[in-house]
Amino acid sequence: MFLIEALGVLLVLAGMPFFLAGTLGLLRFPDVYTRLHALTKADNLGLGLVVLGLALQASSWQAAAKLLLIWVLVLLASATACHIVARSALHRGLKPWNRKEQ
Amino acid sequence: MTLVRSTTRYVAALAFLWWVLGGTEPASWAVGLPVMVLATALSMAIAPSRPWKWRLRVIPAFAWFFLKESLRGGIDVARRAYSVHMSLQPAMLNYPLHLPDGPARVFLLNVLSLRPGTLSADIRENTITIHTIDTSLPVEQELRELEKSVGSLFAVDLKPEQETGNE
Repeated sequence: MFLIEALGVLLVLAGMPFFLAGTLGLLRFPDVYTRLHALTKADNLGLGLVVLGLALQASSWQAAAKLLLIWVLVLLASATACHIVARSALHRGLKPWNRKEQ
Repeated sequence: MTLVRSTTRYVAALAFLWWVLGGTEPASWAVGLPVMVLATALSMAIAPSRPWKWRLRVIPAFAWFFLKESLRGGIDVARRAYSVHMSLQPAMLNYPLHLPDGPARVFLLNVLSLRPGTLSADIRENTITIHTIDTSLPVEQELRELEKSVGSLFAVDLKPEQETGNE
């Protein structure tokens, strides 16, 4: 039991740097498209690790299932929102950032 | 008949979701039930459902593949965000789809946005527009493999290369 708890804590801690990376990318990356990359992928992994860590420490199977379901729903929402933002940027004629043109 | 069946399925799936998230608290269902009905009606109005199914025996392999790719994608983009010089070489690419029109395509678009280095930006006819964060990544080859996996998950056949008729 102690091992599982410890693994849970480790997974939650492992998720943190990815949330930070998502925010860092949002601030540092040069255009809307690259920022979307940071938000969707880093937060997906960060949330996945946190959810997995919390599920290991959950008091019941239902609570663990609920956490995993939340992850899946967030993934669905973030992938869809990301596509919509990228498409609207593309339709407005926003060109992807390019190092040579800067 | 099919409309009744798909509506019932939709409501049942939403009810299950609500139950997992909110439990059996009556007050929560006072909100949940109307929202379920509205969501179903809205979904039917916007996008009449097309039948689709997943091959059950392919699900574990696909789930494993998806988890692996999520890990790779997250690490890849985190590495770029933390690095001092941020190795970015972004570009837009057009990719002719081999998957037939339908839910499998929507699924593909969502999954590819969570994989390393790619982001779905648009879909027109049989071509998708993808933003890649680094043109040195083997984007096309990985997309082809992803299409195959999604095709096998949804039990649909891919169109052969020459018939996709890009442009």
